[in-house]
Amino acid sequence: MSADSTPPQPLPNHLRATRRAVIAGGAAATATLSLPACTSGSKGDSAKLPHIGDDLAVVEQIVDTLLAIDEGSPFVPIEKTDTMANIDRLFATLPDHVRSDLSKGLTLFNLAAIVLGWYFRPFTALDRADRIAYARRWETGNKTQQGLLFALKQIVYVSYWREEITWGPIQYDGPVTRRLGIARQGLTPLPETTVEGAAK
Amino acid sequence: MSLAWQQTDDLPVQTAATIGSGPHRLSADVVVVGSGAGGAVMAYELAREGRSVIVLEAGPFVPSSRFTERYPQMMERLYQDRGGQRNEDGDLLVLQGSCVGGSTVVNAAAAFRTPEYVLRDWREKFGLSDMTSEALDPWFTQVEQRLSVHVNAPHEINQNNQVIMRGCDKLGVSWRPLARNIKNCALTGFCLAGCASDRKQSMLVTYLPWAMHHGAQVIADTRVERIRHKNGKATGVVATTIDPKTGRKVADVEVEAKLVVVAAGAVQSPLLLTRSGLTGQSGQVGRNFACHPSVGILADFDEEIFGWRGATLGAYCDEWDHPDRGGFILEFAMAGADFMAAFSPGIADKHLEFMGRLKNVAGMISLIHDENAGVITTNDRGEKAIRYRVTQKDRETIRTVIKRSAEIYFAAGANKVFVPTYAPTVIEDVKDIDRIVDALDLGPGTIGMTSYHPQGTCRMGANPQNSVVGPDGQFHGVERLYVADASLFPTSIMVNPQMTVYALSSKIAHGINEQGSELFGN
Ligand SMILES: Cc1cc2nc3c(=O)[nH]c(=O)nc-3n(C[C@H](O)[C@H](O)[C@H](O)COP(=O)(O)OP(=O)(O)OC[C@H]3O[C@@H](n4cnc5c(N)ncnc54)[C@H](O)[C@@H]3O)c2cc1C
Repeated sequence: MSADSTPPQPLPNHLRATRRAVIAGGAAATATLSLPACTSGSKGDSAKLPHIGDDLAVVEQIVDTLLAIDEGSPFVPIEKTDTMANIDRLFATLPDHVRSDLSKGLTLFNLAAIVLGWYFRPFTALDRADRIAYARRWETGNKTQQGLLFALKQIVYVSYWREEITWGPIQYDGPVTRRLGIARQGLTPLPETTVEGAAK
Repeated sequence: MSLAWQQTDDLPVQTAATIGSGPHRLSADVVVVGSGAGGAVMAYELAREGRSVIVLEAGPFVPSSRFTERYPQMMERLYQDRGGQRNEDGDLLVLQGSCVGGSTVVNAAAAFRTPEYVLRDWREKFGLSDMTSEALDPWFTQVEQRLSVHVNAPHEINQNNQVIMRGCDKLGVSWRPLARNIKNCALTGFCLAGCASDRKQSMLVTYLPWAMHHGAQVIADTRVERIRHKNGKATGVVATTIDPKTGRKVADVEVEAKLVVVAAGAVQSPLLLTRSGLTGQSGQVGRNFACHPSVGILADFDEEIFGWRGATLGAYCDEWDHPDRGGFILEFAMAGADFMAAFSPGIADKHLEFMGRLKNVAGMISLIHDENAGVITTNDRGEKAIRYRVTQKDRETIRTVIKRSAEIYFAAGANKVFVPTYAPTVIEDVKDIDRIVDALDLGPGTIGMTSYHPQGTCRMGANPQNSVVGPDGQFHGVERLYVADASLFPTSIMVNPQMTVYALSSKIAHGINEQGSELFGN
């Protein structure tokens, strides 16, 4: 069932993501800007993604939904990048209580699809068009929904676009100093002057 | 006299890797907590007068040869909490540097003096009678000369700025080229990831090496846990050296000192003072937090802009730069794709469209003269808590900021303007600006904001009943304890704060040097 014609509805209380889950998402999101460099393989393999752990299915679908890169599109397919591994490394850096709150937020996001928009299935069981429509409801829903979706966007987008391979299609230059051979100026010599009035 | 070292790699900074397991019991005339804007200036000014100085820095020592110009990596290495420091509501990202050189290593180099209307408030409301533009002039002049502060030349104003300036000109809105502390800018656009070619005159390439030349010792990876004090006098600090790679403790470090200078920045300084039982007579330690909450407004144009190319900051709009005229400024800036992706409006096809057109996107950020409405404290888990919510008045200023920015963009020929609300707001016609922006909620948890300028949590003032430190920088009621960082500001200053920190720290150092033998006994 498509939800396109149904106006956004607030979540039932018992399914409402907690404020803490949203803040956890926020913490995770900004930490995404700061993942260690990664070299390992990318998708789908929970043994290789131990920190995503039980959230793997929902995280994979969120990544696919928020990026929605179609075959033949000019953008680099997710599986050619280390996006999932980057997210895993991010999750590894989160304090236990933040990780646990984030997990609760992800579970709520997944299960709330059953009632929100009357899909009667969790988010992970929807096709991509419905998943996008559902995510858009969160994006424009109540503050809690908006907050969690905003955090998820940051996690996914920084994890994808930090990959150098993604820059070609958008003509982003990336690092330039070494490539252009710009010389380091080094330390600035000691100051010679003390301004009058500032002298001892 | 020339320095013994050429490059930041050569600097003899102690780190977790070199310090040894300890415990280390050190002594010095002065121990400085934090090596950023306030701490570095203080270290140099006192070391130059022959004082033995130890600087303890919680963050790592990262020489500029290791600046990779990849934002995610550098945020992890150079920023507080790996770039993830937020307020309790989660809607404000509070960016601070945490490395040798502090926030000056990652800042965008805009150089402003403290506005006179701000100083007037400081004089009238906080009894800081010597805070006049004239009295502070020598301190500003000195630091400006030393850090090569100059007004941007035309080649330092990139296409992103040109496009926005065009909009300002069409509307008759005033803009000016910014002044920056940069020498021979290489126009790489990576100020916020650290200047890989040392052109930005951060503390890492200036005051810290100069202080070390005069014998100051800098120890990185070393977080001050507590200030020691006895009978109303500070006597030193207790610190821990942590290996940044493993997070494990390497050594205990204690420094016995005749003078303790706290310059850990406006979030950490009040926490350190409170941990040390130094809450002051006024109860104001940690209160009055302000931060210039900034919203980034982006716009899509037909023309290619490549906003990430060229100097990070070129010009700014000063039309509304006084509280009587709005109380905000707009600075014109974009960053690379691995940074901007986090601010993308929309999802799926909307996101890809935005990123695909990033080269056609212009960006500006706002700084507002916000009220000192926040508190830095600890939560019930004992963790740092930044309790800051934009006040109703400031929220309306942000609304005005959005409207004025959108008008400038449309005058410049923008196709659409993106407002960073969580629920994406896109304005596609100048006629819609008021209707759309007036309808925005803008309450807590509705719009993504960033602070680059935390300040105000150990406010300076003559009266110990409503301030934390005196006009000379000394903590009210505790001798030999000084504060010299952005936490001193009694009110928010609206403009970028580094120069004010340098000037205040220089002035306080001067006062300490004047006391000379009285303080140090030699
Ligand atoms: C991204 C960004 C862009 C900016 N752009 C500009 C700009 O263009 N122009 C401008 O004027 N200003 C700018 N600023 C702000 C400016 O750099 C700061 O206002 C200024 O550096 C503050 O100086 P400070 O001494 O208070 O703190 P900081 O420079 O932040 O230094 C504090 C240091 O103390 C260390 N520390 C903290 N706790 C402890 C502890 N317990 N023990 C030991 N060390 C500790 C920290 O790790 C840090 O290195 C920017 C800041 C950021 C983050």
